[in-house]
Amino acid sequence: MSGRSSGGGTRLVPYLQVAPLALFTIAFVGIPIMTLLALSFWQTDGISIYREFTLENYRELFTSGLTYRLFYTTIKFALITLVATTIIGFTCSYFLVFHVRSLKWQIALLLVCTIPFWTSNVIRMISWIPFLGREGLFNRAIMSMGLTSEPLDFLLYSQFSVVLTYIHLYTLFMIVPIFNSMAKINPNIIEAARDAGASGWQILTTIIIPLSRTGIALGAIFVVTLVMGDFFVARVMSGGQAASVVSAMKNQIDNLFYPQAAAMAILLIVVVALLVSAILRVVDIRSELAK
Amino acid sequence: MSEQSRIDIRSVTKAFGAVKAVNNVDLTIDGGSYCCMIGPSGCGKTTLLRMIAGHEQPTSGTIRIGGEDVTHARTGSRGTALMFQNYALFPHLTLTDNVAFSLRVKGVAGDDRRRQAKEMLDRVQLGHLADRLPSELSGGQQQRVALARALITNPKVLLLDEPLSALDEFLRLRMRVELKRLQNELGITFIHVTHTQPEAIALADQVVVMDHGLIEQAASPRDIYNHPHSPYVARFMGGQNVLSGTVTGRDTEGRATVEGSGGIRYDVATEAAVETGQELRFSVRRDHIRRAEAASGHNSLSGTAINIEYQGTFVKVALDTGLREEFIIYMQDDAYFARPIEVGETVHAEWDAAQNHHLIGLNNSTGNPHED
Repeated sequence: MSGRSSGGGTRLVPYLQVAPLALFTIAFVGIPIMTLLALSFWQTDGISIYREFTLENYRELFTSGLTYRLFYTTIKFALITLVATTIIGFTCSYFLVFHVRSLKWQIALLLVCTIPFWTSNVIRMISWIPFLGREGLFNRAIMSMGLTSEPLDFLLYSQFSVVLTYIHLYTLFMIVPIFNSMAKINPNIIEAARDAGASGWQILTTIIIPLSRTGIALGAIFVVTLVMGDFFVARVMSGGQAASVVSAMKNQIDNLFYPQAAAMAILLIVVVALLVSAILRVVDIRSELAK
Repeated sequence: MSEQSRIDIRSVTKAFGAVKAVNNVDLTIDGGSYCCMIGPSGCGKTTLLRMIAGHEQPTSGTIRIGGEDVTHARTGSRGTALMFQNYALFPHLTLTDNVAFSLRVKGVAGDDRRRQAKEMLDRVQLGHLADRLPSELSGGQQQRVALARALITNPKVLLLDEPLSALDEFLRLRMRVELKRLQNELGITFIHVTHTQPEAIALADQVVVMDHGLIEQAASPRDIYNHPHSPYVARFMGGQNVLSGTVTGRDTEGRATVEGSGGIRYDVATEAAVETGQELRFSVRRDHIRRAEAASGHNSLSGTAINIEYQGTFVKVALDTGLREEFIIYMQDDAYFARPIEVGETVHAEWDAAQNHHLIGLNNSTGNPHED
């Protein structure tokens, strides 16, 4: 009550408290997106940009079959990666939480999972090439075992190698949040389920998976946004055969078609936002985290 | 029902590495009885309970429920239901789904199991909260849900792991009454682990006092209280003073004459063979001790009053008698207030020889929780 008497000063306090984050968000998220949005409605002739309103960039975008093919490929990569990283991430976390009983070993093994992250993404990605290539380790190994007479071509510079690299790069983003929500499950709850007569499989499906869903959803958001925003892996690992949305955008930028690239970027933001909101619709992360 | 829910524990040992949490225990719990297991933390009572529930496997020995060997039977298929100390409700399921969980894993159809769960919730007076999540309930309500979830499996034996320890005093007393009523109504065996003496005395048909993985005494509450087996049981259950002395001979009535510190003579009716010269321990109920005018040197003790607590119906007077333990007298409040005692005053106490209870058991520990 005494605060009330100081009048305007009190009313300002909450605004001052949110100001740092608000300013940061406006400067580094709001302004760039507004710029992008404005740019996507301007005209260009490939040499210079004219600040005149046009819907031409979007018309071109939506009428080109290439756009749909790009989004189809990118979303396909995202979903395959999502499924694979979820299965691997869930299994690893399950092992760490429920089979490794001592906290010391749990932390040690989780750190082992992060070891690949001590080098850069590029190095981890490139290191697949000598392994998967025509003359690579894998092909030589299976040929020397007599399993095949010809080297397998699909291993490298293919959609397979792109997805494989994504899975390798992003599984940790799945393991950590799932591990986190699984570690919060009170072991007594699992005993209570067993006491009620539930089998191991029933405990998994009725208790552990529902209670890990926050972690799965958080991991899914990481993986989907990372794959949707990638162009480097798609370009290098496919040997230029598969194009992702962002790699197409990069081509446009290289050719100085900034407004077209901006329109594509806006569409990508919308699609990613829809995917993320679909994930949030399944799991209410905010209320789960508040618990 | 009673034969079906009788429990026989034979030579059961549970070792965790080199530590024997439960050490070669034999115990029979009558079907349909209320059994309380009591002891300080780390005494093995919870481990024994968990072995009956099937959450731990005995290292050796057998456990029978209703005559059937369930030592290695699967948890959830041996007719037991365990109520966990922190309730362990499923946080993502509504009360109905929590209670219906065991029916769900048995494959009972949705409508049927929800109806049964609703009935069980009504029984614990929570029917109106059926669609809430556990986190929206108070501690007492969560406990009743845990009870409903355990009972819906129609267990032969209900196991309760410190069920009242998380509740406040008022709720604890109310739940205590409710548990006893429920046990009478259902007629199944309840095994209740606790570390609170009044709880065990009030509820149990059979009290099992444990220490260091061993059963010190298993008997009715009245027996435990009036005829404790060892100094440990007497101290742990409370209400007793433990004294000791050297046997010097026998009197005409066959009682052992025991000489305590300061040359005071005690007559103790022995319950086992004793030899002259050996040390003998005995207990005296605190409420059977009178105040005397002078030291008589016979079934008596004198000391300095060091603490006086008014308890409503009686007054607790603690004396320093120069022994290791305080000597405590419970005086009727009218007797006390007729002539109140000042702290620092010398007080003489005496009692009838018949109040001396020979403690046969050797466990002389104080009953404090282990430091481990």
